[in-house]
Amino acid sequence: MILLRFQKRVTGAATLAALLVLVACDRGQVRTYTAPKDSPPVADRRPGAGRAIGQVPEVATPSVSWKLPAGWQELPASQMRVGHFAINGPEGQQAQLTIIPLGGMGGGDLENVNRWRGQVSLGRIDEAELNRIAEKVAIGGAEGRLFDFAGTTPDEDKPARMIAAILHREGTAWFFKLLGDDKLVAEQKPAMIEFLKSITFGAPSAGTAMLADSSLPDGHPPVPGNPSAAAGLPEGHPPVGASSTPAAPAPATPAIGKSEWKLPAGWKELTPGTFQRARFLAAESGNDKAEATISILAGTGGGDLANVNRWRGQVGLAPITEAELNATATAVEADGRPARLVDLTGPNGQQRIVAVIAARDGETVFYRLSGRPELVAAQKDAFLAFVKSPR
Amino acid sequence: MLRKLFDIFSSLKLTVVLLSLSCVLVFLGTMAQDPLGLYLVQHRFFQSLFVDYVSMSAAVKKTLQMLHIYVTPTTAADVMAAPYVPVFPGGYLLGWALLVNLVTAHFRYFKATKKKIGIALIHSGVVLLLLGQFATDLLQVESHMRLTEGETKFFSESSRQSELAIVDTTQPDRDQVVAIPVSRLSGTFQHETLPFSVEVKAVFQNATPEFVTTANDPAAASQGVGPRLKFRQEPPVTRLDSRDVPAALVELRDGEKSLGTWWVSNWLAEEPLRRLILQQSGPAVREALARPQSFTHAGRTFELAMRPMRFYEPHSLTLLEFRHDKYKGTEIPKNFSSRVRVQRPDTGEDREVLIYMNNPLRYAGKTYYQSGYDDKDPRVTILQVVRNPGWLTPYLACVIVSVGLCLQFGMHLLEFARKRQTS
Repeated sequence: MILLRFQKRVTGAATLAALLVLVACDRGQVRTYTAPKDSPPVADRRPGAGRAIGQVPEVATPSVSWKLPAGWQELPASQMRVGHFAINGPEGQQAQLTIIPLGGMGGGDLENVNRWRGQVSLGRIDEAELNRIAEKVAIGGAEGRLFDFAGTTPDEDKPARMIAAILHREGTAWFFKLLGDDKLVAEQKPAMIEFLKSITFGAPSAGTAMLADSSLPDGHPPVPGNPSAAAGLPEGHPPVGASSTPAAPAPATPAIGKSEWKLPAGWKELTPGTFQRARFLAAESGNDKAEATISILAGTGGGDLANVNRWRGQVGLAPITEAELNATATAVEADGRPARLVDLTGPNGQQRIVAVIAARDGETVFYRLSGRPELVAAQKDAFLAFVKSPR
Repeated sequence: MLRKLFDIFSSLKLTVVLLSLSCVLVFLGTMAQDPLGLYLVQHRFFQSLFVDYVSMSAAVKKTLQMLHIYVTPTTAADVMAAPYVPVFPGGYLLGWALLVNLVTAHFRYFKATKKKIGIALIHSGVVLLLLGQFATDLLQVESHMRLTEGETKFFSESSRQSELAIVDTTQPDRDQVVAIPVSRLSGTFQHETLPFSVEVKAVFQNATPEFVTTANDPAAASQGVGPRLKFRQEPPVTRLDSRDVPAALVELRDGEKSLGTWWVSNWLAEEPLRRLILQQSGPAVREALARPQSFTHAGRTFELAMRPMRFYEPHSLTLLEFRHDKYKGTEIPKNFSSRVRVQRPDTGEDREVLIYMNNPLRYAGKTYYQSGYDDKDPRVTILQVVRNPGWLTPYLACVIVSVGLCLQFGMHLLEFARKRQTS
């Protein structure tokens, strides 16, 4: 009798268990379903607030139309570029023109021009010099400013030229930028001026949208063959801001696996930033810190000069040329291979960067010690020994 | 035979053995949490019939380490790479064995009399507790909903599981989605609603992005962000406050013809992760990231994304206002609250609700708790969404056990008092 009752209960429990298992099983299955469309990202209307970077704000794009000069080929427009054109020279030279509208001041003329100058290996200029070199140009019936400068491509040292026109109109900064082979761009200058004249501005249209964020001053197309321009900042510098970990959409931050470096005494391993292989706290004194980072990038990692000039900018020094870099860099050894060392201290004595660049098997390793000059000085020997030690 | 089995299962010796094994399991599971992380331990020790050899060795090594005997620790990667060799009963086996033991022992030793009604209640309460927890373990789904002020969502997202979503966006009003969990990504995948097959070329449980820099370093993916970004495999993380961010390289094929190769990753889909990439990117990468990875094939437009697993609902939540009050002059949070609008198109329901700490919204079998905020964007609220059909069982079980205990002790007390009076 007891046994019979027991059997019945067991059958009941087993059925319940089987049901639970069945219900639970759908978690790992392929699912197909119809879903409402995602609502568009929300624009940030806080006064003075930068938009969530990369989000396309809910702003209609001002539209433009133009008369296409002969020999110019129109390419498809994209999110940031409302116009995009390719020009090919008779000897295979290439140039491209882009039209990009940005909200507000678009990051400021001086900042943009200085960045563009960097793309043709030219140094920074100041506001006075900017005003001096600016030419007046008619853009769609309004008066804009035109800048014309020639230099070389940062990586291949080929002659390159940029002609850029800026127009501020109804709260939008319009950037027209022609970049490419020096001779071809120079030849196309009259055509570009005619083109600018032919521009007509229309009412804002939906569809493509502009990225209006002062932290993203420009959507510049890559300089042909320039890897650093094509890929953004070539070296993974520490992320901006105190907290670089993604704010919790989940109870989590992506952590990058522990490295197997042999650390100098007193160094502490920190969570590396994105694009960094390792990051260490080398020294700390009150609020001042010296940090060491290691980044490994494929190929030349954007080139030594571009990286050194970026670091120079970070400590407040002016860019240098390849020849100057060759003259100032010292030869050291990293992981048993020859490497180059640069030691940069800012003019105000606030920041010092000691960096070692080592090429190895198709990739480049960037070791960097940065922070307060006195802390960096105290850690420099330990850093160099660390860089030198094989791993 | 059945009688013999019944005797074994109902034995009180078995109860002692099972309870002892449970203690050992809990101890070793706790030890293994340090090298393996909470989620792997849950999976390998408690949500399994048996604990495997490598997980067990991780726990034992950690215990030795605590006793200052140093041995090379076992990592989560070791556990996942090793073959599954069961060596110790796991949580499910012990739980079910205890349940069977309790039920059978009840039938073997228990005589149904009025006096024993308290014991019967206590036992049934414990059985309900065990079954309820098992149901919770299988059925509970925890997800979260990230909303920016003004944004409306019909779905919440898993915090730990991701899926490859192939979204047909051709229709102007609705999307047709085929979602493949990351755990199922391997080989070639075909689905009757898709005019192409998906060939998984690589899948990383945890990955970190890298820029594609030079021509010497050819991009693995030809489409979408592929020419600008690629992903590198990372060891899985074990820390409680960390999680894996997966990535995969997939090629779409229509018969013999390749439609292209794409990188997909949560790095490209989740806003805080995208922000990290964008902070370090140049314009070309920003431009590549500015729009979803989409393509057109056979007259239909598709989007391809690896994203947190989504759970759609027939109702939507719109964030009207998020408040994050702090004590004056400090960064200490005083109160978070989210004023949301709940809309259900099929019933026409439309109302406003204020969700704040300890005051969740319970709606359609889900509980929405105020759980977090985005320190980079003050307009963003994060709600935790919990579906737990078994949430009442522990309360009910406790009430039943309490009533049983009161009855049992009460009756004993009365009996005792009566005996004392008569003597």
